Amino acid sequence: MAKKGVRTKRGIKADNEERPNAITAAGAKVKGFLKDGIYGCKVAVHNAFSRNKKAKATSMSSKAKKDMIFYVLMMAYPVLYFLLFYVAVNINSLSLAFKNYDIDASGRHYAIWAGFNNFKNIFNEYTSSTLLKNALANSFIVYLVGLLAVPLGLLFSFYIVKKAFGHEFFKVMLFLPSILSSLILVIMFKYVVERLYPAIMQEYFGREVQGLLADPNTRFGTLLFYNIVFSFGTSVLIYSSAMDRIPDPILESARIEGVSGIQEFWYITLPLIFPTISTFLIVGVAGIFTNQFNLFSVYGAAPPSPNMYTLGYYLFAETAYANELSYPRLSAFGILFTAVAVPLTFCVRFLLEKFSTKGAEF
Amino acid sequence: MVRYKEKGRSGVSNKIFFGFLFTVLTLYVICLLIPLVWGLYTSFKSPNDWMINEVWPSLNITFENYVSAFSSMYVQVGQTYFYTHHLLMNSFFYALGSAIVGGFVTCITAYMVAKFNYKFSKIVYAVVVITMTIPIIGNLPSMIEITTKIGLFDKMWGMWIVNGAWYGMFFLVFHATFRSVAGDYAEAASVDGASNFVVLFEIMIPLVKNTLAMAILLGFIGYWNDYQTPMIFLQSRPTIAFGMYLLSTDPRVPFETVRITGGMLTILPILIIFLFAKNKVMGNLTLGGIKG
Amino acid sequence: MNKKIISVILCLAIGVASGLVGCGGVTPSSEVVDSTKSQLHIGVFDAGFGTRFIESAAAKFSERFKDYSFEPGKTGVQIHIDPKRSYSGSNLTSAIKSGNNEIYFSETVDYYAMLSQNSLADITDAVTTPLSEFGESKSIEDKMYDQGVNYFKSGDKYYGIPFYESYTGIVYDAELFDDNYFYLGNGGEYVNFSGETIDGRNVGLTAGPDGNSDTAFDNGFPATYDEFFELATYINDCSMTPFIWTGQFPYYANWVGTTLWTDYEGEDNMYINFNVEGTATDLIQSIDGSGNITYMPETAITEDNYYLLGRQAGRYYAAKFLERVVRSGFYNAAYSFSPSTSQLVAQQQFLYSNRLNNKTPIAMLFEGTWWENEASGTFREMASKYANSSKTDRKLGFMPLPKATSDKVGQKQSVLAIGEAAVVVSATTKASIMGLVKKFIQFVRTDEMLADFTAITSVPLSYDYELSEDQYNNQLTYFGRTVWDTKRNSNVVYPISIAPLYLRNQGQKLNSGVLWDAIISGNAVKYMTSYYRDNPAATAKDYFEGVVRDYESTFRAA
Repeated sequence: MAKKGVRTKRGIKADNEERPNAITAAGAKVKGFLKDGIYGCKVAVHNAFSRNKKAKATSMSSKAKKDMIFYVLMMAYPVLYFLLFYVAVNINSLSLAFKNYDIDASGRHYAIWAGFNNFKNIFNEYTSSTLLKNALANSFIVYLVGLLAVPLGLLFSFYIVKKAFGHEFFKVMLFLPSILSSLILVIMFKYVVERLYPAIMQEYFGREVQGLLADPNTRFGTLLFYNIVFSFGTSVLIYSSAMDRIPDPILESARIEGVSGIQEFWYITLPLIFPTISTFLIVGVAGIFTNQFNLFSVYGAAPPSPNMYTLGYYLFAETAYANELSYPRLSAFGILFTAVAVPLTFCVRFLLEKFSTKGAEF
Repeated sequence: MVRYKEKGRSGVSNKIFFGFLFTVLTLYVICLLIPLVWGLYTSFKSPNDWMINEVWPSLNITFENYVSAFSSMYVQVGQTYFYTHHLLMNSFFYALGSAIVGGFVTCITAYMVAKFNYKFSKIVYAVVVITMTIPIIGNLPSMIEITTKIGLFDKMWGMWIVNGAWYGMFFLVFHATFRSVAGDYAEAASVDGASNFVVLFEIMIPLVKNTLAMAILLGFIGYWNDYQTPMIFLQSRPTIAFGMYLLSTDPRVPFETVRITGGMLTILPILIIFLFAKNKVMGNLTLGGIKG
Repeated sequence: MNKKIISVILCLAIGVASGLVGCGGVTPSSEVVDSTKSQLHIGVFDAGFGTRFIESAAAKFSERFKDYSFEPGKTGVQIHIDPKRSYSGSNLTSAIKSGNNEIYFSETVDYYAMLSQNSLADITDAVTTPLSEFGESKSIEDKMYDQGVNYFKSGDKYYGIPFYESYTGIVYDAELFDDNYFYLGNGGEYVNFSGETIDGRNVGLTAGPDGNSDTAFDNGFPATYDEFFELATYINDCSMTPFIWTGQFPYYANWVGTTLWTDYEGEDNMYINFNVEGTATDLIQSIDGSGNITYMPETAITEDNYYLLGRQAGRYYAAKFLERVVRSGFYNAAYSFSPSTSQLVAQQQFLYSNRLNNKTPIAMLFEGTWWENEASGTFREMASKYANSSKTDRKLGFMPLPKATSDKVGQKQSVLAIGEAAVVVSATTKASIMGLVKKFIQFVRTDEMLADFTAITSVPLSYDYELSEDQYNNQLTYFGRTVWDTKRNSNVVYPISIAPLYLRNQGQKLNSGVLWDAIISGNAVKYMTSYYRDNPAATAKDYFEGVVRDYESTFRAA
């Protein structure tokens, strides 16, 4: 089933109540674009050029001039912003990775070309210590286990879209964690597993136990649990809005065939919103390298054990307490992760596309 | 909405299916509410009561933790102290400024790109999509360097600018919206002789005010809760989220009840906003379905 | 309607813009200045000791000199106290440049860094002149220990003087020990503090780790690690919890190791770590799989082979002690490793456990001697509900620590004075009040004020002074008395020196609060207890070798 069929347009009667439609349509467009990726961009650029020729052919009226001035005026800031905080920042990041800072006699820092030294050092660090190896493994575990949240989120969304019992309440509850400070949630959760749980075990089971985060056997699992349970918010909103867009006639005819809820979920909903799911999965790939696993909020600057690290935590904690001298090394890390994350993202996209075509044939 | 068959085999399996989901969701809600409810009643417990009973609410309700939390929650920068009300104000300005600047820049840029068919607009659009597909990791050190060099680092207004990244999800949302309406309205207005500015501010922005409000609201909440960015970029104007982070690790906080209370104090404003603007925050994305 | 919303938003934006100028926090201005009096500003590191000691000194000083004119046209003195968390270590080094306090009471002071940036004022005459004005014949310098003189005397001049000294180790609940017969009596029996067994026979207390029953302070305490862990087992068998410590700051447990290491090494070997000279007598060459130790020959230590000090045997035994603590499992499981357990929370659990029916009593707390003052709030809260629970009522003691091996029994106890605390005077001090500043410095170092500090904080200062019988018995808490006993009965090692290697590493690796960094499996490991628990097969040998590796990578010339 082609995705475009799902997206219904409803004309452009632009009263205020209609705005949301456009938003969801836009949401779908976002996903479409992410899916179409570079190809879409190429087409867009190509079109831009071809249309531009036409524009040049006609002479500029005074209105056109005014438009142009207005356009330049209004676009100057966003363009400058982009050049500064995207282009310059990333170029600087790239160049930092190949530099090193040194201190001269007066205590001032100056940069010197370092070639691939920063990368070599990272490689040495990786081979000589277990910390980065653990961090890498943990990051993948967190990502993979985090995928469990996807089917759960889909089922929850389905429950809400089907307006089953208590759906309004559940919707609010599912969204709640994404607006509450994650730091506070982590702190409260920490107290629950570190104080409430041992207190209950003591009081009602007469057992003196360690907190779930204190116990080395349970702390990783506990954080994994937290990571899944408190992560639904936005994804449920977007899944359910995608499910909402499935046209009624399709569901109607399915219902006449006598499909059950499970069947509808499996055979109709899932394939139809697969593009949305795959967008989530694709965007999530970068999370392997950025997810701090809430370690900073739980432990502050010093997690108790190198066994707990993730790459995201490592990079953030190092940066937060770093001075200029260590920026090159940290930038090299960033470049390295990006160099892995980009192809990985495209790889996942490629696989998902394959999978989705097969699904459609099925 | 369409109803399932109530009887027969599929009726039973529906009941099991939705019943199962209901159970899982209920478990989830319990997991979510335990910390919040337990935290709330613990915040009204005296330290002596807490030592005796960590599990259940105490009958002696006390506000001493709130008093303590207010006095324990401060951030010292150089010779200057920021107490709870300063932190709240800083958070408010930081979050509101960032959200408004970000929201408007995104909205206006999206309008310009959608409305004006220059080749440049196409390029901008393409670039936005590309940046969204390419995950760039670990450019934080570089960001610190650049913002320091151009003098935005550690300045409130600097953060409003830095946080105003317009090339994201909401750009595409605004863009699509303007695409679908820009034509009719703008043409009509410009026939009337309205200037571009007038069209933009008096017609176009009001048209998307719901989306804009949502972008600003979500932005506000996000910036309010974020302690890591201000921790690095806004050290001389600490926010409440950062204050809470310090409180959560500060060795001097006298009792655990005070820490728990500090947490409750920080989420209260957001909870209130959420309860009042629940439909604004969640409604637009969900209820925006095309179904009639 | 739309316009309205836009204007609301714009108004908000304007409000936000106006916020640019508002809301910058406050700089607490001190009390109203009484311009008829000379003004003195004192910065205090705001930590465990609080500010009560300095308030007391300031009040007494102002009272004594209320009719005295330090500056022309002014009579008496008004003292402003400025307690800040940031007045220590490198923060103070930078704060002192622009701060407006004349005197700073601080810790982890990087004295020579401040000196090299010309931030300190010369107070030599105040230090070397006898305190005859206060009826004493000694000068401050006379009361200082050699190590302090060597460190603070730069050339012929003093720019600072020592402050307090604190020790780290184990705090025990003396009431619990007494009630439950946890003292060691002669003949291998457990007795109460009077030396009586449970069935009422008086067998007397053992002579303790120093092997001398004339020194009462350690009588009845385990003399060796083995005895100590037998006692811990006994406490555990009595359904009590032997140990608790803070999980949020795992270095507190390391600090027990620091004291054990110091005690094992003794004064001479320990000072090599800071003076970077001397002959190390017990460096470990290697430890085999079954724990047999091969020693290196005696080695003269210089900067070049300083890294060898990572091999001091005392470290290995201290690491062994903590390994046994963790492996025994005799610690409060819910709190000791919990990232939510701050030192105050550990103190609370320790203090409340012996008052509440629903808690298992905890016998020992790993802490530093400053803890009692830090726990003032807890004592107050407890006393509001439970009888006999105030700071002065509770009987808590600082425990004399056992010896690693039986051949060490009989050796005088050695402790490390951690904190590197100092009092310095800022170079920005106006010449017109320099006399006042020096007078104040002298005043707080009179015997009376030294004792006053100890009475308030239960902690001694790094000076040679005595407490009167009355002060000892009536002004000190039970805990304060045991800390004073420790000072009086130990060789105190001061971790300060002017050796270049020490000065280079003072703020980092050789800070007395650190000293236990290790490299294990390529990772930086800092905390022994966490390490043992995270790695169930790990031993003291592994940690010791980690320290050796860290010392080699830090101090061995490339």
